[in-house]
Amino acid sequence: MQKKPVHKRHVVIKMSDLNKMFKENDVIPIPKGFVKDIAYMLSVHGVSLEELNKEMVSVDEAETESEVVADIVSEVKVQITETSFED
Amino acid sequence: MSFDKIIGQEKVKSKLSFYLEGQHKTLLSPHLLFVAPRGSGKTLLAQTYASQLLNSEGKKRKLITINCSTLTSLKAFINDVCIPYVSGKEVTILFDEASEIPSNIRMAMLTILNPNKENKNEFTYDDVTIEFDYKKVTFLFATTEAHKIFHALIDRLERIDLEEYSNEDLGMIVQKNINSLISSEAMKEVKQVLRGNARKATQMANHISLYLGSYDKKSFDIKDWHDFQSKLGINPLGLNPMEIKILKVLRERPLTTLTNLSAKTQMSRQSLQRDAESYLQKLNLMEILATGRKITHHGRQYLESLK
Repeated sequence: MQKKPVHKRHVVIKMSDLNKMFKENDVIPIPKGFVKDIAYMLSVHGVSLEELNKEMVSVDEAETESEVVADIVSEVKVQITETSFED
Repeated sequence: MSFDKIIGQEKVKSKLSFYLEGQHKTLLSPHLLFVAPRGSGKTLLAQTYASQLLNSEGKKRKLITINCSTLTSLKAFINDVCIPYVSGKEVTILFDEASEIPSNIRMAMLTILNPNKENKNEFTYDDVTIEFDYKKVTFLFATTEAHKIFHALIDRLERIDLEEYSNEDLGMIVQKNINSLISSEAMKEVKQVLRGNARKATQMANHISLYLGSYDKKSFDIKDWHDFQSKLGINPLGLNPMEIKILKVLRERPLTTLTNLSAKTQMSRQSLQRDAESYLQKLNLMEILATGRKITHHGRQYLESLK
């Protein structure tokens, strides 16, 4: 997968590469913090996120979704201290 | 770093030295769980132990300390800890505040630490398989709350319970951290207010150094102690104002319920139980009966002495 850093918090990915990973009907969880931006961009193309999520989000799935979101969001937060003891 | 520089904890130091001797010959160390109250030096002991573990070339191994309250997912553990620091490396990993390890990582640790003849395990997550060779990787855990750690994980670890510090040990810690002389009379008073806590002893040494520095003094005697004590508002036995307030509330009636004590002190029931009552009970200043809380004879004497 070809990636190119454009900002310290972003990487870019080719759509053709993503297409290799996903099929047409796959459903991808999106961190809730990004939903507004994506919903706005999709609305330009007449696509609404709401319809799909009304159908899909039962209580169990909502829990799974929040776990996945937590997984993605938490990636950069682990506080690690490295100590060397060389004389 | 060596154990000689650590005051007290003789049994623990002797046990750890035994493990180190073995590690230097076989490269194998048990995975350890350090358990002790806050400020007892668990992390210091764990770090000192880690500083003496050797790799296959006979050099000192690197130590990675993880603050477990920031360890939020198994994915982060694999991506941020295991892949960069463990895979193909020789390292010691210290989980500080280990009671905060999330359950999915705890479960992964059960697989990683499962004892076997080969002294190695593999753990697979997504498409990544990481080998944990105990000759290359040692896990250390430090916590004040061992009861919050999953029992099956505790079974896989060698538990190291720290001993309580004697007043003599605490006095030595204070003296070690001060370059000036403290008179024996002053030291006797200092020891009484350290609440059996090694970290408090170090803080006290820093405060005394600051006091001596600001008055250009070279030694600390009983007169200095009284002045120092009144400036910092240090109460006898090191009690804090809230603990004294609790004793005063308890003195008002023969028995007081926790709810009543909470209402009068404006502290939550949990906070009272966790932060205030245990030290008062330890000093035998109050007692908890089935019917309520009660001040002891010692407690009344203590309040009298404050007048």
